[in-house]
Amino acid sequence: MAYIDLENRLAKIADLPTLSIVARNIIQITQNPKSSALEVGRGISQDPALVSKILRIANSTFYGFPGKISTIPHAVVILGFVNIRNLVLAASISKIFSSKGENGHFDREGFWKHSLACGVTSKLIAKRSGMKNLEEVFIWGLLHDVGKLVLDAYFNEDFTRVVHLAREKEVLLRDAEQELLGFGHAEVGGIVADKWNLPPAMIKVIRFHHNPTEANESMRMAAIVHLADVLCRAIGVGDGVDSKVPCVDKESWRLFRLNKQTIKRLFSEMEREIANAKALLAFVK
Amino acid sequence: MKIAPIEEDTRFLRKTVSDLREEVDQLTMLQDISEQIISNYDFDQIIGIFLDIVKELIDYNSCILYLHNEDSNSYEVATFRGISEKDLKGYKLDDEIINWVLKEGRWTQVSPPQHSNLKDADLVSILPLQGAKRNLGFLLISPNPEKNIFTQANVKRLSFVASQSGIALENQGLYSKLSHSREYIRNILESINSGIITIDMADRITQINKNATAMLGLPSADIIGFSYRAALAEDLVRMIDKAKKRTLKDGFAIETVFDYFPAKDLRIPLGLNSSLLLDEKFNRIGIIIVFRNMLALKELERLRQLDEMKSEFVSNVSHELRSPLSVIKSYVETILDQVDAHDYKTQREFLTVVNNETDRLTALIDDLLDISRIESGKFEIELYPVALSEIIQTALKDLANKSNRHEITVDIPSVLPDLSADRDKMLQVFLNLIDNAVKFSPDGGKIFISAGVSGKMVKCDISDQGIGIARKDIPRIFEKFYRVDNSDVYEIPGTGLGLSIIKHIVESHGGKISVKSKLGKGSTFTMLLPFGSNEGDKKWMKRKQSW
Repeated sequence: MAYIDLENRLAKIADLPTLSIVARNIIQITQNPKSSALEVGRGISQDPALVSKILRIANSTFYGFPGKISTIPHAVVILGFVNIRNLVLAASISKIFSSKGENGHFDREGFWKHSLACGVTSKLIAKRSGMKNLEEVFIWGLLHDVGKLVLDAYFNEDFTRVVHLAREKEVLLRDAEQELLGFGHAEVGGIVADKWNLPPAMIKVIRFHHNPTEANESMRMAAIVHLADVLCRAIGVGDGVDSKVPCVDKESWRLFRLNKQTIKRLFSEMEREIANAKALLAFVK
Repeated sequence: MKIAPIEEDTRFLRKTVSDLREEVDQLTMLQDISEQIISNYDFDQIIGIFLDIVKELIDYNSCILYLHNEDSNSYEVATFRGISEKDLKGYKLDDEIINWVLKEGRWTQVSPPQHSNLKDADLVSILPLQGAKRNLGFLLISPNPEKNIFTQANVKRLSFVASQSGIALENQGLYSKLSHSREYIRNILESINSGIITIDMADRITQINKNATAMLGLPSADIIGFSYRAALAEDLVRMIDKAKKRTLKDGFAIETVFDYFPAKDLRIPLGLNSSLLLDEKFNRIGIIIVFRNMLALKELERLRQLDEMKSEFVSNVSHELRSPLSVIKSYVETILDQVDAHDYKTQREFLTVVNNETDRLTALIDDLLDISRIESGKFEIELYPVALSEIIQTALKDLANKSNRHEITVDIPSVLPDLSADRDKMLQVFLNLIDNAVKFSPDGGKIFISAGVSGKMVKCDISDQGIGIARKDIPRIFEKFYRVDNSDVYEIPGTGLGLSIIKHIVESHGGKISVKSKLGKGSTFTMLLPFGSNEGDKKWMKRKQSW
């Protein structure tokens, strides 16, 4: 199915997921470079449940700050704008899908485990290559499969068939999607992320995480998440529906100068960091 | 409560777009300015520019820069602004917080330190300074509370400036380490006793130490960067060419010695060796050439030998002194204890031996005194006309009872001009030479003494058929303390002083002495001695010579 057709088809679904207003506002506020911690704090404080949720995770071992964080502005100046925006976004997205499409075929907990592991691994790969804004990279990994949630919630019947096919024939989910639907979770995720006004890089990463070379100038970003995805499947963290390990994109492998030794080191770092990220699972589940 | 979605607020969206544009402009400008930092190798300047830019961006009240000290493995105050030294202590933050921020690597605001003058609401911020691989330190900023500085734009800008400064500081550290180690190697090179030149693979001189400049007589060390072919003398270039060829083939060239003429009439024997210089990947990067001044080495060797000779001399002299004394002692004891008081014949016989040994001792001590006079420059001769034949006869008479196994033939023309000589000293010369001829012919044989006029000199030969002198010893037998090592064949006593004293006496008369010899066949000592003036000048001359 052509991408434009898919866009049209999705647009017709009246109740296609929308982010909460608070989350939408936070995305807007954090896109303005002059926004201050106070403004972000003010934006979040309109949702008291979110405030307490964020403060809980801000004080968790995941961030490990040696001191108490008692207000949202305080959380912003300590954890940074990107971390706070990530939390708001993750909380909002997980909330949308928490009540929809749960039918037992698609393991939500397994999904989030894999997503978290991808977020953490993306960070590790990015750090190795000298990137600095690692929090941004984390959310790419965390949200790269958001299309699966959309498919499960809004194309439930189709997606159930896809899941069955993938499991029966032991093929990759994305191959089953192509066979039955003519489109996949990556494209769907890209369209939804665009609709949510997520930052352009994030949209590209979600859409091209299977085929980074097609992301053109955003290839490096898509490649990070692609590699993280493959590595997480290789060590079997979480559940990506199918249990197969997709082929690594050669260009991406070369771009990040990976080899047996660096992978070995990455695996041991991943193990530690993924264990450390468990606190976040309760946050998104 | 109804929350208004911002995306419907067109004013906010328009502002975002314009703020984003401004942000791009500012970051571009910042990037240009930061080149000042990154291209700098001066520690204080890097820090100065860094603090200025931070001030410009967020207008802090005060700041303290902490840098990591590798030796103490802790962060120490490097510099501070807007705060007095005594207040520094109050601004010390909890280590745990510092470490957390450095691990996160992000500009972070935290509650002010307990003992500072700040209110709890006035957050201080920590800006990490990171190099490529490690934390270099951090800037503790106490901001102007009036200003709302914690914006995304500032996070980005400060991180950018901090990372540029971090890289600059790291480069500066590497640079200063590099120049430190260069200086270190330079010092080592300069303190080495040899001359050292290094060249690169394009024959350019890359390093030269002062010793090389001095040894090779170069006007200055300003030849670094020039080809050695252009900068050095032709004969030197030839030697280096040879060594280079060898070195490129084998990795080194063993020492060759050649004569170098750094200036007219100045000859230095130089030793030259060389080896390849490799980089860490074993690529050839040049050749090191080491020069040694062999002159100094030879002098050292000469002194060492002299020292050896002196030690041997002391042991010889002790032995020579001891043996006559032992003889004297034993004969005198025998006379006292065992010879009948009236047996005058035996007493006389023994006393003759004592007398002879005493003479030997006296001669030896005379030799020692002579050499000490010669060494101290107090050796004097008094010249009178003396007949050579008279001296030889006296010498033969003195030596008459020494040996009866030798046949001594004297062949002197009846008319021979008188020598102008110190009679006693000249007698000493002949006594010594004839005695040697006897001594070194242990199996007997003929001894010839002949004389004749040769130009303005009297030539006199004393030949024997004794053991002779090895070719290698001939040039040295007139040196003081030198003894031909023939102990394994013959045990001939001596101190190694006689011939050197003779040579000195002969030369102080204006004469010459030389020797021809063949091992096992015998030796001939030849002297050329000046004869006196025709008027038979009675006035004696006094000569003073020092050796």
